[in-house]
Amino acid sequence: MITLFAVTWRTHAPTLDKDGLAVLADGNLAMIVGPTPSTTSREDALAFGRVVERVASAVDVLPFRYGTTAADTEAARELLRENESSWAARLLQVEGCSELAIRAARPESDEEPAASGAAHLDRLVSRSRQLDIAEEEIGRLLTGRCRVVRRLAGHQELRLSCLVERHQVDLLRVLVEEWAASQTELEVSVTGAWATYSFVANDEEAG
Amino acid sequence: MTTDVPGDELEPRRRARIEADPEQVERGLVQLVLTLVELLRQLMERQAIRRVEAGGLEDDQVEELGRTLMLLDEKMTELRDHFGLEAEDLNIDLGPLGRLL
Repeated sequence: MITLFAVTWRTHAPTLDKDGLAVLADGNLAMIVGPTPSTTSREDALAFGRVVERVASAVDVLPFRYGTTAADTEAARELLRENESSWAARLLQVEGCSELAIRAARPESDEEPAASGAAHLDRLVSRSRQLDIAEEEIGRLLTGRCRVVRRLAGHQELRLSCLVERHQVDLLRVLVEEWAASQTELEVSVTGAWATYSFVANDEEAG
Repeated sequence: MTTDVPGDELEPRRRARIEADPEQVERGLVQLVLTLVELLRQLMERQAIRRVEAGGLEDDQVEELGRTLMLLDEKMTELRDHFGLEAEDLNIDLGPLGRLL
């Protein structure tokens, strides 16, 4: 069994010569693969992410989710052959881009329980409105600067994944951090640039 | 550029992966059950927020709804603490659909 890390263009495939990593090529695409650890652990997951990010920092990639495997190299090549046209199309969609992740939420605190059911519900409604306003304000900063923005599930926090052209990443981060500095009740974080994990699936698959 | 990984050398590792630890199985089951309960709880919260925003609820209905949600929240926290789980542990990854919560 082998672990699948990412797909990239064959002509852009990196040279990998350590940690058992290898590049399989077929048609116009190439796949970065490596040995599968005997057990799953946090360290394995982090190591997987480091490999993907290292490759993604140099070339456009479609990263696989951690834990994706194939029976052997022939099965992996078969995947490349079967999916060549769709994966090539998705690589074009993320061309020159990285992913920036924005999260806004109220800080976790030992807040006293509400004094009544109505007060508890008021608190929920107020938080929901606060996040809606945050989404609107951040949305204005992102407009015209992101190729795609997706709001991920979760109503107690705002989580946005942004497909950003690499040359816009630093500017966007500064803009969001400036906005974050004006927030008194929300904790805001901007992380990345990451490989384009949230934009591997097409819109239909992503729901 | 083509470099193959020798699949045969990896075969023993594949066999090692199917050994299941009973304690891990139990924890995984609890995690799955609580994840589903948490999903329902959050759906109820969202529905309640929508109903309040739409207006038309009597004061006693608001109080009852809020109290139910508050108790559910407290119980979920108790259960998570009991089984040593964090809130993020209940947010499972659904592949191309994204994360559950």
